[in-house]
Amino acid sequence: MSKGTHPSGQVVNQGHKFSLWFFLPGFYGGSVYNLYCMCEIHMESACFEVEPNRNAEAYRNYQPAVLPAHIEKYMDFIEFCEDGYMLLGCSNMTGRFWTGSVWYFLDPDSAPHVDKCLTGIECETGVTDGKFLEDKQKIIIGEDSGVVQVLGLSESADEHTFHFETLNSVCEHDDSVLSVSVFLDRKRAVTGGLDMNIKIWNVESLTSEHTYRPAHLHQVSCVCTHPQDGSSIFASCSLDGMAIIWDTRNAKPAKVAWNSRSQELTSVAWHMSKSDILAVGSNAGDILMIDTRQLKEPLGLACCFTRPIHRLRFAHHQPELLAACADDSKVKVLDCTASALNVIYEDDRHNDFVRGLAWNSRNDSLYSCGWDKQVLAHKLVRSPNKMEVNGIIEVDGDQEQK
Amino acid sequence: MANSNRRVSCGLDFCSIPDIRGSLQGASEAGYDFACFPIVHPRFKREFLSGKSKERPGAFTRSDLILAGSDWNNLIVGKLSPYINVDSEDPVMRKQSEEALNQELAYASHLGLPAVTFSLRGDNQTNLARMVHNKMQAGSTYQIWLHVPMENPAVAAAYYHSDEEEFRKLHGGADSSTWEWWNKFRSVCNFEKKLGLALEVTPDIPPEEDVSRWMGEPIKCLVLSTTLFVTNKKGYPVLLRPHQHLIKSFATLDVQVVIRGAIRHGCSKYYQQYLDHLWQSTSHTDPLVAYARGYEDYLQCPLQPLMDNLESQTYEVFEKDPVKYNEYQRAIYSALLDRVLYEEKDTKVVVVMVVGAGRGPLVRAALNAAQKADRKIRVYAVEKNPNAVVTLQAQQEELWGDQVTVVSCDMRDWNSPEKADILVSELLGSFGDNELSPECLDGAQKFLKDDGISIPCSYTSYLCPVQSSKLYNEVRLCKEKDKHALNHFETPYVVHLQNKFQLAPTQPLFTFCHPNKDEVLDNTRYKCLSFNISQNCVLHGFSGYFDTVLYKNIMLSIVPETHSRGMFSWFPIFFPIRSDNFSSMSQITELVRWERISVRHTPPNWEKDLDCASIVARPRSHFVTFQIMFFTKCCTEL
Repeated sequence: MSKGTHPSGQVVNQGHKFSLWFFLPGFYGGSVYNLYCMCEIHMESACFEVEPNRNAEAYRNYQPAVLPAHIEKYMDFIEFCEDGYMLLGCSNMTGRFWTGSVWYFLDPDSAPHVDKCLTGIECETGVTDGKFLEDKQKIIIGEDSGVVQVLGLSESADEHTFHFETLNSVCEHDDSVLSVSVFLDRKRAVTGGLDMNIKIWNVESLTSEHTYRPAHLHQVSCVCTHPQDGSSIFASCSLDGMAIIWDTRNAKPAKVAWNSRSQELTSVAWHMSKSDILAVGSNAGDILMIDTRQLKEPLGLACCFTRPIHRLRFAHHQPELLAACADDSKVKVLDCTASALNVIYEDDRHNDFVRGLAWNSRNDSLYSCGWDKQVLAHKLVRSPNKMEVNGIIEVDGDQEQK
Repeated sequence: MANSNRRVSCGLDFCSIPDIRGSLQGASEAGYDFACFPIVHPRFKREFLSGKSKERPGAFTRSDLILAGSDWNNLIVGKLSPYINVDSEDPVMRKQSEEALNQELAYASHLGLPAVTFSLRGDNQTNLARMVHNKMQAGSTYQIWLHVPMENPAVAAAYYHSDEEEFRKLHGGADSSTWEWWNKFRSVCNFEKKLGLALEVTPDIPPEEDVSRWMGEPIKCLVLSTTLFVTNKKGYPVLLRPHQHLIKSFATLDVQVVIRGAIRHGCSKYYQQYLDHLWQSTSHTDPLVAYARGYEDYLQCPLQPLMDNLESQTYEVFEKDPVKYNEYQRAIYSALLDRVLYEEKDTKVVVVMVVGAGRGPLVRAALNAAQKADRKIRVYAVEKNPNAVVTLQAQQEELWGDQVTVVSCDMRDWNSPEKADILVSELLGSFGDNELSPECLDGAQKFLKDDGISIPCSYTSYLCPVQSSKLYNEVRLCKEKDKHALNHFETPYVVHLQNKFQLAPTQPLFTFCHPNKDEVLDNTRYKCLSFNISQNCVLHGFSGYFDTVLYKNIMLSIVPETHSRGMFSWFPIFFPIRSDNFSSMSQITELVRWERISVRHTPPNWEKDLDCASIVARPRSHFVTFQIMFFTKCCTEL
């Protein structure tokens, strides 16, 4: 069996049957789904130039055949870029094949209709998390097999259609990747997974700059980069009950932010404007606000769910708003200004676990997706005298925004 | 050098398997015998209590139809979901986890999986142990492979923290070793046979005594992460020397191996090939190992040749020992040269009596020795087993001639026509005197000249405390219906000990010398032994050995430190401890008082006197109870 060298320096085996080995990095290209898009597109033409020395690889990775016919049953994450385009990731976890797919929607309200998407790509195993990279055309995703992929959106030569291309794919995690987060400088990313490891990546070459093995004593449930620091600070939490703050510049990068003996921690998020505040979610459904400068007492505690928290997202436009979802059908938004965290919005339209949460900075609304195959929009209204209101807010004609 | 012919049985661990059939086929082509993958998708959390998700439509995992039943039964080890925590302090989480665990184990049972594996993450897993124990008691079809890392991950994780000490303290400190987690778990499970270990070899190998402690545990497989492997010059994965050495020592326990993690060296089959190479090269230069294949940790009742007549096949097996008889021959040769000076060699005839001659190998040894030493001898072959006497008489007629006289009689009852210069015997059991050699030789020494010698001239028994849950389980299974419920614990067993951990160095117990020149012949012995045990472990019993001095510096030994190379006639003896409640021992000096009681008495309805010897051990520790081991009982001649 001959071996070729992947441009990024990995050794790639040739001659293996495609469908068998999902361990081989760079070999699998993914499938392509082209559709003429009905919406007007205002995008610069983004045809990725194939470097001449990567010609062989471009051919190898090109797979025009299989189209994902439908969006997989279980939707796991959504992300927005600044222009308001949406990324949706989903997996099949109970059928014959445990595959996954990633979809790109220009209009988030049209999701999850397959025929309204811009494009999609099928992935060999389920997709757990993904983020946009430097611009709206590059994304990084983590998969159940431990593979981390960078996908690029490129325009097909002939028509005004777009498709995903695998720019880089690497399998270095020893178990599923559970969480992906991108640093502010968009050059580096962090992943954490079931193998208890955390890896720091250079997204351009998709090489790992640091590997913390083991970073935790149980699966790393969430990693989140600091919103102000450019490239080295991030937080992680794990089912071992610890939330840790990492600074990759240090030889000893880890510092325990929170250690809970009895509770497993499932989600972590940095406050968008106050750089020392961290929100941590636990498996009991509690959300704690921690000040990283003094780690003795939490600043606030909200017991707003009865099930493990799954995701926490602070809003960009209004930094004190924190969206939360759990192993539950409810979506809640909390106001974190006071030390007592108050639930100001609650929604129960989903029919199954809510998994993905993201704020759309275009229209300042919250979107959620879940295992009920729904993508829902939540529009929050603040009453003029800033009274906090619980319950579903009616969408009315004029929306007052702070 | 004998080739081991042992193939390693490797399995491949998949973290998420999108296409079962394809992956299994690939694994099989790469040389793997089985695969480990999740029973339910590791992220597919389910709701069992209340809420909309409780009524989630659809199956909770794949159908069993994807594979044939025989594939499920033989090729797959199921992994449980990693987020299950039945010991959580949150009651909702606890209940959900219990339901999820039950659901997954029930499905594993439905599929007929041979084994189910999950990770042990701490020593507070009592509820999990209890639930698993209940399942096993109720008759689960699967084994449980408990995944335990050799070293606590907190030790490696602490390196990333500026305050290492603080971090380590948070997680139990240096005392929280993974062996303690395992010990607690399996104690709650009452040492169930179906509970085994999937021991993960960590990059940092713990100290020697911690590693050898695992040797006494029921390890079903070793888990090797692909991160352990380094790349050699040709680009293939290999292991570093310390890991190689470690894994080879486990190879003798007949463990399987699971490879897990990202494939870093191109193809998963290279790992399997490398491990196969390691297995083959596990050195088997010692013929003992080749002979003993299949006997590892197999309990046998000690022979009682005084009470029972040995069978032809038993003699045949013993006669194959390449070392024992040669050493006897050497001893007789030396003794002859010492006893008869060169000037006397043509005139003096040495009388050699082989007592307990069996089928004659020692007679042959004596004749060879005489020829080599160029000395004259006259041999008496005394044997009580009338069936063996047939063989002796045949050999005497056809091969030996008048030089040998065959005597069909118990040596204690024989009235010899003349006295012997050299008394040769091989009446030794695995514990030295447990086949009543002292009593027999005492009875025989009446026809030994005053300046006569005995070969062997002395023998000593040795003991050491041992931890072996495998042997303990084997002994538990030896329970016989028509005997006392604990009878199987009160007998010693002869067993080729492999899966054991020696807790303290061996110490000598009783010594016997022949001929016994004491005025009053008394084979009663009493001794107190104390063992210093340096680390936490469990005492399952004592293993017994012996060594013997045949003549001057010619010795035979089965004591591990001085074992005669290539001698397989004796496997060690194992004295189990009957205990309902094992606790870990550490830094305890275990005091055991051992007594050998030797009596000769005439029970009712028997015509002859009987020799009985029993060894009584009275350990001082409060949690080990009094026990008696009864050795060779009595002659059956009536």
